[in-house]
Amino acid sequence: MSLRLLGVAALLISLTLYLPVITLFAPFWELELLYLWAELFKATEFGPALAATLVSTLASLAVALGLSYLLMGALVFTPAYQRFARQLPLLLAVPHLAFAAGLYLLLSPKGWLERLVAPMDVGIWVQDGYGLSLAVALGIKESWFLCWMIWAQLQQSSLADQFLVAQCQGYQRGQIVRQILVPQLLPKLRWPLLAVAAYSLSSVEMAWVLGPTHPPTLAVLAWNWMLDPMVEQRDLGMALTLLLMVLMLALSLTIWQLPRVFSGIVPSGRRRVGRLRIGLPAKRLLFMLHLILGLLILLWSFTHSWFYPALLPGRWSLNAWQSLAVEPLLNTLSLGLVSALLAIALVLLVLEAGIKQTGWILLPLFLPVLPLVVGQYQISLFVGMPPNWSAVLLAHLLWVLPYVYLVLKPAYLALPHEQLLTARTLGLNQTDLFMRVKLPLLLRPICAAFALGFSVSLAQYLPTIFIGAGRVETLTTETLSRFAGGDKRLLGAQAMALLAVALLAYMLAQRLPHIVYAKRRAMH
Amino acid sequence: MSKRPLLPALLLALPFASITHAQDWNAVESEARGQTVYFNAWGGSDVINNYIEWAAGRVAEESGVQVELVKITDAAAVVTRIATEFKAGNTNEGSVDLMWVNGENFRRLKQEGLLAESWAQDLPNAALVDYSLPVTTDFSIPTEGQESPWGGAQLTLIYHPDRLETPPADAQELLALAKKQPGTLAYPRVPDFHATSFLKQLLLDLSDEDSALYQPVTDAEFERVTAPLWSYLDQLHPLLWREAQAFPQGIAQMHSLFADGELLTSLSFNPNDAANLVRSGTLPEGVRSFGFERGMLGNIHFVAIPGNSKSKAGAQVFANFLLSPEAQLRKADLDVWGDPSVLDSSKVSGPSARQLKERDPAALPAKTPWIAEPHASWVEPLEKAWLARYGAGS
Repeated sequence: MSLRLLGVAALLISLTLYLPVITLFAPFWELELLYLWAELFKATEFGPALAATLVSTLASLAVALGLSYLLMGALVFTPAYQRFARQLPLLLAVPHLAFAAGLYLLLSPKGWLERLVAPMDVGIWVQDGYGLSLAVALGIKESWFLCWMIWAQLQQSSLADQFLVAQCQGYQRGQIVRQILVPQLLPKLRWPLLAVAAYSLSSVEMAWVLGPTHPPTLAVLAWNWMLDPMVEQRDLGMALTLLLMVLMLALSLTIWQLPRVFSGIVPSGRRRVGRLRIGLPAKRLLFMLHLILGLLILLWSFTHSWFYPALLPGRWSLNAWQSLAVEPLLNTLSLGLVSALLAIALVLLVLEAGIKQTGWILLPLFLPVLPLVVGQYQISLFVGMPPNWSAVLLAHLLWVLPYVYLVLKPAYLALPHEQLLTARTLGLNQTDLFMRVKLPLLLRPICAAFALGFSVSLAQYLPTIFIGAGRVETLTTETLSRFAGGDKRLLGAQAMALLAVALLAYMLAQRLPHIVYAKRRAMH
Repeated sequence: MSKRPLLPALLLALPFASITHAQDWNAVESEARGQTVYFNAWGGSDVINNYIEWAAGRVAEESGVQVELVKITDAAAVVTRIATEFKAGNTNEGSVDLMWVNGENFRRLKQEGLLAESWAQDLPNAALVDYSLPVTTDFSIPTEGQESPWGGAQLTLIYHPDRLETPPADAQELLALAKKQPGTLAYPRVPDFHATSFLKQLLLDLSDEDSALYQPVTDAEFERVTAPLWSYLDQLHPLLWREAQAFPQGIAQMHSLFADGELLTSLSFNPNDAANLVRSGTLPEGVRSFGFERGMLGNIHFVAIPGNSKSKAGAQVFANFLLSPEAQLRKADLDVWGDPSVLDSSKVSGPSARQLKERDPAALPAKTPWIAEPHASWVEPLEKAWLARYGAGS
C-alpha cells in the first residue's frame, strides 16, 4: 500500500477519534439548557464554586506567567540557560498528580510544614476556600510548560540576535526582557496559555487533592453531579459541563487580548536598572520544593506510623509497597506505550501524505476535559463498546495525539530539504525516502514525542475512569483512589510508583537516540 | 376438611422441597463454573480489598468462578451506570455482575427494577443467617430476596481517653463539648455516606426517634421532624473544625486529623474500626470507641445482582460463599477486616461460634443499643436541605 493511502487512512482514523470534539455541542439541543442553567444559578453551591474556579484559574495563569517571566527573564542567553532548557522536560515529566500528592503531604493540616514550624500556628493549608493553594500548585506546574514553550520560540526566532544587540547598546537584562522579549513572545504564547487555562479550568484530579472542598470547583462539582443517582442532578451536571465550555470561551477571548496590554508602550530609549535577580533564587527554591516533595512521598511510603509533631516516621514498614498491585503498572505501561506509538504513527503518516489542514489535531488541548470525556462516553455507549483496555486506549489518544503532533510537526517541517532532494536524485522512492532518510533523521523528535505522549497517557484520569468503568486501573487512577482512601502511607507508595515510572520512561526516551546512534556522532 | 391428612402431606413435601432446592442449587453451581463475575465494591480500603481478593481466590478454587474486583469510589455512580445501560437497551450484558450496596442505592435499584429478583433466600448459606438482625429490610424497605446480607455495621465514635476524659453521651453533650473546645470536632461533608449517617444519628437523637422517620417522608413531616436538627447545627457549625468553612473529605481524612491531634473524635461505621486502625498504625495506641447512651445507628450491608448481569449464577455462588462460616469468620477477624458477621452463632458449630462474639477493648462496646435506619426516602431530602443551608460555606 502506498504511503499516501496509509496517510489518508490515518487521517480518517484520527478524525474518528475526534468525534467527541464534533459532538461536543449535541447536548445543547437535547437538554432544556436555559431551564437547567436557571436551576444551576439557584443551587447554593454554584456561586462559591464559580468564584473558586475563576480565582484558581486566573490566579494559576498569573502565577505561571509570572514565574516563567522571572525564570526565563533571568536565564535566557546566560551560561545556565541551556542546562535549564535540558532540565525542563524532566520537570514536565513529573505527573501533576504526584506533584499534588507531595504538596498535600507538605501542606495539609498538621502536615510536614506545620510540623517543621511547630508549635507556631501558621495556618497554612491546602484546600482553602478560594482555591489559592490549587492556583499556586497549578501555576508552578504549568510554568515549566510555559518556559518550555518560550524556549522553543526562542530557538526559532531572531530574538537571540536582538537580545545581543540590545546588550551591546548597554541596556540591562530587565529592560531588554520587558521591552524586546515580552512584546514579541506574548502573541506566540497565546495558544500555550489557552492550553494552561483549559487544564486549570477543568482539572478534576488536581482540584480534588488541593482545591476547595466546600464547595469544590465547578469541574469537581460537575463530576460529582454527573455521578449522582438522581436524573435531574445528572442533567444539572451536564449543564454545568457545558457552562465550562462557555467559561473557556470567555477565557480564550481574554487571553487573546493579552498582548494588547503591551502594544501601546513606546520605548523611550532610556536605560533603566534591572537585572531580574529574583529569578535565580526562585529557580533554586522551586527545585528544592520538588526535591522535598519527592522525599516526603518516599518517606510516607515506608511509614508504619507517623503522628504529629514528629518530623520523621516513628515506625517504618514495607506494607504500603507490598500492597501495590501489578496490574495498574502493566496497564499504565501498555497504554502509554501503545498510545504514544500509535499517535506517532498517525501523525507521521498524516504529515507524510502531505495533508495541509492539520491544525485541528491540537483542538483537544484548548477544550475542557470533562465535556470531551462525556462525549467519548456517549459515543462508546452508542457503538456498544465494552469498557475495557482498548476503549481506554482510544480515549487516551484524543489527548496523546495533539501533544505528539505538537512535537513532531515542527521537526517534520524542519527536515533538511537538501538532504531529501539528494536522496530523491539518488533514486529513492517515497517509501524508501520516508523509511531510510526521514525516520532516522526524526529519531530524536520521535523519542521526545514518545516521552511526552507516554506521560500524557500516564496522567489521564477522567477518560480512564469513565470510559473504563473503573475496570482499567492505572497508576493515576490508583493514586487518586489512594488519596480518597486517605491513608498517607498508601498514597505515598502509589504516588512514588507513578513518579518513578514517569521519570524512568522519560529518561529512557532521552537516552534512546544515543543508544541507537552510538556509532554515528553526527546524529546525536 | 380435617387437618389430619395435611401433616403427612407436609412431611412428604418437605424433603422434596429441599431436594428440588438442592437440585436447583446444583444447576446454579454448574452454570456458574467458568463464569467471570465483576464485583463492584467500594475500593478505598486495602483491608477490604485484600479480603475480597482472598474470597475470590477461594471461590475460584472451590467452584471455578472467576471474581474480578472492580474498586469503585461511589456506589451511586454504579447505580447510574446500570440504569444507563438498561436505558441503552443493554439488558443482558451489563458491566456489573454483583455489587456491594444498601440503603438509598438499593431503594433506587429496586424501584427502577434494575435487580435480579428473588434469589438471595435460596442460597444454601442463607439458612445460617441471624434473622434477629434486620436482614430482610434495608432502611425500612423489604429486600424480597433481591439482595443477600453480607455484614453488619454500627455508627461508632472514636476518642482517646488521654485527650477526652468523658465522651459525650448524647447530641446535647456533644454541643457542650464543642462550646468548651471549639475547633476540635468535625464530620465529613454531606453527601458523604458517613456524614449523612452522622446527620441521621443526630436527627434520631434530637427527635427522640420520632416514628415518622420510619415512614416514607412527606414535606410536612420533614419540616416538623428536622426543625430541631437545623437549629442544633446552626449552633454547632461555628464551633466545628475550621468553623465549618471546610469539612474533612471523608472518614479517612478524619482519622488522620484525629491521629495528629487536630480533632478530638473520629467517626466510623464499623464498630471494630478503632481496633483495626491501631493495628495498622493509622491511629495511636490507647484509642477507644463510644456511642450515645440512647444507642447508635446500625444497618446491614448487602450484595445485589443487577438484572442485566450475564453471570448471575456465578454471582450467586460468590454471594453464597461470602455467607459461609469460613468467609464470615475471616471477615470478622480484626487482623483481616473486622466487619461484624451476620451469622447466628447458635447455628454455627465449633470454636467459631465463640469467635463470632468476641470484641476488642478498642471496639464499640457490645452493649451499645442498635437504632434502626430511618426509611430510605429521608436520605435525599435530608442531604438536599443540608446542602441548601450549608453547602455554600458562608
